[in-house]
Formats: sequence, structure tokens, C-alpha cells
Amino acid sequence: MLLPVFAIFVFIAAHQPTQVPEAVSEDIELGWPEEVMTIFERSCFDCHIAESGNIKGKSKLNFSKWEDYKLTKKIGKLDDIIKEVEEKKMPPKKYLNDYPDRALSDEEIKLVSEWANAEADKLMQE
Amino acid sequence: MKKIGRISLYIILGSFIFIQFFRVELNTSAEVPEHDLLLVHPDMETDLQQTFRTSCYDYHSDNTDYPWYAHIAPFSWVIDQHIRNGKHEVNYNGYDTLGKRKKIALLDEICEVVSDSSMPPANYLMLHPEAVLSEEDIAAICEWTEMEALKLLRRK
Repeated sequence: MLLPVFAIFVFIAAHQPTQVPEAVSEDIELGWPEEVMTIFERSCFDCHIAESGNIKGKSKLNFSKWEDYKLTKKIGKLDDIIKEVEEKKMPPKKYLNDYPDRALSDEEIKLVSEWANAEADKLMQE
Repeated sequence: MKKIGRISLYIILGSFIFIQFFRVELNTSAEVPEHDLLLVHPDMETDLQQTFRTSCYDYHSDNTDYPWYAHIAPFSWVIDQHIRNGKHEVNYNGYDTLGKRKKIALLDEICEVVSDSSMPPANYLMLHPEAVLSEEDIAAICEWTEMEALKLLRRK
């Protein structure tokens, strides 16, 4: 009697759409301004947090491990962020082809680089 | 059929000779690079200096030690592009013109890219086996870059 119920259950389980993880489910608290964090979450986290499948991306910069970075590395990474977004190398073109709405606007580029600049200067004083 | 074969051979040979006229400007400089990383750090161990010269300076300085095939197109074009890209990332001859923060960022990056084997690039190493970095080379590079970065950081 239970068999048909079980069969239906199996059927439903097998036909569930593959779980597509949300772009961001990891909660990263770094005490950075919300407007900057929003941009990072939308446009960078797909490849630059621990749970990302992009090995190369997260080896270059992993926001989940930010607090473990040495001071000199933090300064270096902030400096890289400025360069990458200003030269529009990041997010990469290939990624933006798939997700055009994750491109950074000129104002966002300015916001990110000004923040990173100030943050790096602050860390230099530590 | 034989004729077609001979004609295509001439065409290929002709194009090969033709492209040789498109020379690239060689990356060589007679100027003394007064801001050079190694010049401003005379206290750096000789072995480590040599490592930088052998493994990094071909694409990251104003003087490339060209192999013979680098003068033949189309290889010359590819190599020229690699040198341009390399120098855009960093030119060690201009190290001392960088600000303190840029220096720290660069020093950190040097250790990172040699540790994850992204530098020197695999295609370069295929033709330059002498540029392969051993574990000891990498450790020596990172020890120096970390020490130097901290030194810069402490210098207010």
C-alpha cells in the first residue's frame, strides 16, 4: 500500500529542478559600507567567496578569508581591486555576457575605487 | 597536381619571407635603470638577485635577453606582445618610482604569483627551463618580499 506513495515521492524527488544556488548565500561581515558591499555581493561574490566554484577567482581574492589575510596582503588586494575595476578587467567580459546587469556603472566604479583607496590608506597607518 | 604542390610551397615560403619585413622594436635599453628593484636593494642576496634576473626580467624590465628565434616572425610578434603585457603589469626597472602602497601591493603579488605557479608562465618555462623556480627559490622570494613589505609598512 505504501509502495505507490513511495513511488510518487521518488518521482517528485527525481524531477525536482536542479538546485541553483543563489548568487550569495554566505554572510560576510567585514564592517564595510553597505553600498560597497552591495556592489561586491552583486558583481564579485560569484567567484570571490569561499563557496564559489571558481577556483582561480577565489585563489586571487577570497572575501570569506579577508580577515585571515595579512595586513600587507589586504593593502595589496585593495590596490588590485582599484586597478581591476578601473581598467574594467573585472568583472570579466565573459561573465558580463551572461550577466549584463552585474556590470559596474561609472559611479559604482568610482565608489568602489574611492572606498578601496581610503581603506588601503587607513590600513597603511595601522 | 605536382604543380599545385609546388606553387603552394612557393606561396608559403614567399609569405614567410614577406612577414620578416614586419620587424618589432626590440626591448633593449642602454640607460642605467636607476630605479631598478635590484639596484635599489644592493643588500639582496646574490642568488635571489639572479633568480629575479633569470626568471622575471625578460618580460618585466627594459632589457629582454632574446633567444635566436625571437627575431623571426611570427614568433617575434608573439614575444613582443608578451613583453608589452608583462611590462604593463610591472617593470622592475621602475620599481623605485612606485609609491609605498604600490610597492607593498607589488611585493605581496610577487610572492602570490610565484607560489601559485602562475608566474613565470608555463609557455615561457617550456622554452626557458632555466627560469623554473624551485621550492627554495619561491621560499627565498617570499621571505624577501614579505620582509620588505613589512619594512615599508613600518616606515611611516
